[in-house]
Amino acid sequence: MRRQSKQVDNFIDAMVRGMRPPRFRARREDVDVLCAAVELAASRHGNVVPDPSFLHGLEQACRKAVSQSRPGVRHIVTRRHLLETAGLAVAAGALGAVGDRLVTSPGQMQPDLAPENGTWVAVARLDELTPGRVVRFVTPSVTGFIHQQSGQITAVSGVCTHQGCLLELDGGNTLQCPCHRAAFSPAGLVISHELDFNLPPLPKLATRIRNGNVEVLVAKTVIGDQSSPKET
Amino acid sequence: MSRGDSVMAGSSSSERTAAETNDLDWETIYREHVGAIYRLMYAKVGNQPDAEDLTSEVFMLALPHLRVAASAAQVHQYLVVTARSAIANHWRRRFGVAVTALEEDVAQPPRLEVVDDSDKEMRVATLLAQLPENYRAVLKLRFLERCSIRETAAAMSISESNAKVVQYRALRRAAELGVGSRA
Repeated sequence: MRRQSKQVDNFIDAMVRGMRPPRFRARREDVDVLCAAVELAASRHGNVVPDPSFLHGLEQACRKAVSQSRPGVRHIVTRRHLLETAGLAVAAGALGAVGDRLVTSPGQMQPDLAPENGTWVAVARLDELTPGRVVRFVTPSVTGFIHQQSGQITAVSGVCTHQGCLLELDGGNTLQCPCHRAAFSPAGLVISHELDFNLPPLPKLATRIRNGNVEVLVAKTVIGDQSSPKET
Repeated sequence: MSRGDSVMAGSSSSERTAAETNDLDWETIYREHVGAIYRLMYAKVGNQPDAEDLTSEVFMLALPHLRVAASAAQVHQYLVVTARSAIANHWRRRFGVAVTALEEDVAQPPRLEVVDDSDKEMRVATLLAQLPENYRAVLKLRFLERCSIRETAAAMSISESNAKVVQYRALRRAAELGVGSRA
């Protein structure tokens, strides 16, 4: 029996803690093990009842979707989007936002984009990242967007998960794909698209604050100066 | 065409969509099914954030397309078919590979009320009872008592790296006994 990977360990850990597990390319021989971990985690709670605030938020979103439904356009609302739009501060706290402090990704949310050989790169001044403002950044290995909302800093990839087009920030703080009209929230959630499949959300990057700067964890490149990313 | 397709708006030009009806119709559908869909999703993914996202996905995709004049059985079937697709896509995204066992399971979806929590616990307890003592211990500590690897290693008087190996082997053995085949 081959030794399991660290990613399998991380998946099992997330299941044990009741958290969303990280994405990774699983070995086929590990899938049964992962499924066993899922069932054990799911069987832990005797009476599974959805959170009332979640139900309320989803009902509001469904009302909007039904009243505004247009043929060919999918409105997809995820849990975080529901919480954001419903303004449910208590529920948001459970997701990692803590009061009015600035909370960064490590230890709070599992970043989706986690390079094996990463380096921290400053992409914005903390004092210029006012609430609600979205800032685009470019490093030699990654382009993305960073914003602060309710004390939480989030950095997401700036590449559309459909065919890799670079996203554009419109006036309404929405990340628009110029190729096929997909739209993402600054937190990376899919707002709308016209595709015939489920469009994945944007990968998140780990963030931290150092010396008044907001830094993101990106891959090291063989060529290129990581220390002076371009901000536009 | 699946049976669920027959209740989609657009299958007949004379059919009304949920958007053309009053709020009570879709609200009734939502309130009667959201709890069962959520429990189904939780049983499939084992964590609250993913269960909530998938439940949202099902209703946000299905409700605008439902013909509310459909029978309760048709609505039920359509929601289950939508849930099946959402779960299959979820695991493909999560693992980067199709999860055969999961897809085979959801390809023949149970009626929602079949997802019974007490049955689920009993089934797992029965399967775990068949494991060797150290395997049963590590899974009990980790999944029932939610101990960290460090705490588990200390409780079992083994190293942390050994605890991870035992955990993996215990899950492998549990999977051979059928745990996870309904995940």
